[in-house]
Amino acid sequence: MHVNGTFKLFFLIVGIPLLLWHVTFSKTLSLYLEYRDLSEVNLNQAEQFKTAEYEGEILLVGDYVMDRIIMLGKDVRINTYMPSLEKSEGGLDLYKARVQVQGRFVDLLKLVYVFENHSGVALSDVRFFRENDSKRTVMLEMNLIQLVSNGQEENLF
Amino acid sequence: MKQGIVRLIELSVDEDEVVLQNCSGKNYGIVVLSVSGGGVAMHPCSEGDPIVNRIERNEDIYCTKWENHICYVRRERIAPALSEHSIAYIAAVVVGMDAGQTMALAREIQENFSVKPSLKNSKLRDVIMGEWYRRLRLPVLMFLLVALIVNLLLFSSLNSRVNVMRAIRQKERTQEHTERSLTEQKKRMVMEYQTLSLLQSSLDMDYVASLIPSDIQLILMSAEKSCLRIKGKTQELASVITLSKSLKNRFSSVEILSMEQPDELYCFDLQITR
Repeated sequence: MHVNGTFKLFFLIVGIPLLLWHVTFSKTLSLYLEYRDLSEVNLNQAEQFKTAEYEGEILLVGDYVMDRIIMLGKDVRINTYMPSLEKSEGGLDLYKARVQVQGRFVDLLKLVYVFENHSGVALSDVRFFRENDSKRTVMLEMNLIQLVSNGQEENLF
Repeated sequence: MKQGIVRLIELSVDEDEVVLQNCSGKNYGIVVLSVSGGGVAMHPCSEGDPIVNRIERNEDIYCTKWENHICYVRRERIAPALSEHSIAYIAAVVVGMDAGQTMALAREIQENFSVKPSLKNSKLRDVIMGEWYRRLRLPVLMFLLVALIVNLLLFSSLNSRVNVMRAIRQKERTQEHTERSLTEQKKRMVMEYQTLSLLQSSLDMDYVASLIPSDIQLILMSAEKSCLRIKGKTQELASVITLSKSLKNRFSSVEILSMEQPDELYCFDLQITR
């Protein structure tokens, strides 16, 4: 087959480079662009949610609550004290303690005040009631809660 | 460059043979033929000579008009010698008796050959392009080969780097995803904790307790999210109203949720919104 010179020259100068560009050089360029993008990319750091205020010892399963009740004197009696781990998620533990004490209203109110003003624990429920109308003593039923970091998130990475 | 494109072929035409002088190679692009020797015919030139005109018009003859004579040779005479070589295009033929003079004129034509006007002639253009192709083929292919080798090295180097970076990026994505989900979980836990936590109630309860008249016996006082609830018994209905009015001085609203009289005492249920 006779191929004329113009066509051959065109193929040599334009055709072969275009073919090579399509087959191989363009892939190198796209790889280089990807390399550049990957080098420049800065990951949008996930929002850090600070939970530093929840770090510390678990107060509800230790003797902290009992200690505070005993400090009020012998007139205050503990009927129930039931601590439990309610929920654990995202490296945080939610502890709950159901407390029922009996005593004078003033003493029990002081106890409520003490727990309310402690930064580590909170009250989720407070109820004063009398079991018997004739009795002077009052019952206090409350649920204490505490959110504590369990340190598990540090082990994730 | 034009000298390179056009090549000069010297033919020595004798009585019985035609010889190509200083001829190397078989393929030629554009050539200028210098034909000389004893086999070249000559005719003196004079104005209006019909023979000269006939020679010039005859397409079977190569001729060159000199100062006072015209030299010519039949095409078929030199054709067999040229057929052994591949000649793409004969740009000019100089026919003369004297070899030196003929060569000088042929060389002048070769040197003055211009590519630009030749491009209008499609055949000549094709021949020129073919010549350019032959000349550029090797350097261009060598250049492309070098480019391919460099490209191959670059590609393999980049590929290994990109693979490492992709793996790192993937790991970072996974870590980011884990961090996000952990943050969401933390937020949920904190939200739940805050929802469960009561507002400070002891001082409000103390205040409420201080306002309770002596004829009211409290049965229950509880704190809920944004309100206090008190239940009690009394003989005097007015005492409940007085208490309610007193509480309104401090709290935003006081509602009597229920009031019953199952026996001689009234049982009431108040909700105090903080």
